[in-house]
Amino acid sequence: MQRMNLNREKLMKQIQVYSFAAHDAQLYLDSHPNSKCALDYYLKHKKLEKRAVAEYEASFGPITIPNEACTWEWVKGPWPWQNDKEWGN
Amino acid sequence: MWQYEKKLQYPVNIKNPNPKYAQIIVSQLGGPDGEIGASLRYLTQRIAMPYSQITGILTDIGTEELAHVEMVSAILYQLTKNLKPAEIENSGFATYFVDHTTGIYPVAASGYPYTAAQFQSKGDVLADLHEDLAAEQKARATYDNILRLVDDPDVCDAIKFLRAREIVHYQRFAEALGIAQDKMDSKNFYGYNPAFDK
Repeated sequence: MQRMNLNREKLMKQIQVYSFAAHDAQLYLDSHPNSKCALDYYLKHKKLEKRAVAEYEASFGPITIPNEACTWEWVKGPWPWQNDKEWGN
Repeated sequence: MWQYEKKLQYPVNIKNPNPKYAQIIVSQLGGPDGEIGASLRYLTQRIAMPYSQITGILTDIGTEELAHVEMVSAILYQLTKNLKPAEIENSGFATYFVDHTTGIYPVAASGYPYTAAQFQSKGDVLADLHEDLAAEQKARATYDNILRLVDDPDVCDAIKFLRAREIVHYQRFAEALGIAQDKMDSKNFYGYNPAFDK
């Protein structure tokens, strides 16, 4: 359980890093829509985010409402405000 | 419309509950410069914004503020988890506790409930963008004050992230103001309001 939580936390952190980089570039692109460099940066991190999300979802359940599913995992925790201290117990 | 992502924008992992800190930080949920007001300010202002590019900026920053509402809520939740009545009694959190237990409810640190009277949607391009610039600075100052009062690295880490976002948003709104002014009459910015006068 402890190891699983560590891995979950690590993967989630990776998603947060990539999605933050993409989001910050998104705001920059809003005011600088002609920046090719910002667009490349945005697309690069979106791609990395997508890959990390797929890896996370395969082991730990959906981050967004799934497009296809055999069972409805969406309502299972942990929810984002429940830290590992709470969920591990 | 919006779609929920089951993740925080930045991790919140607080090991030690502290009702005193919760009593202060709740202001960034329901206080005068809090995240709910920030989100509603931008998401309402964007509708009448006549410049598409600035509508985009208001939409994306207003959406990010919703993620900050969730982060502040997570901080409050973790700071008040597993508290004993004795710990609450003399913490300053008792006045909140009596009305809301440890449920998350938007109030200012002074106890005043969230009110939309804290923000404006003026329907005037220059007035709205100047309000947005000021709002980001006021929120930044509130986070600075929280950092003056809080001495727990887990809490400070998340608060520092939120503080830094206020500075980035301020920068984007400054650019938005520049974009608006480029489209307006440089001889008299106040000659007409592009959100109303045709």
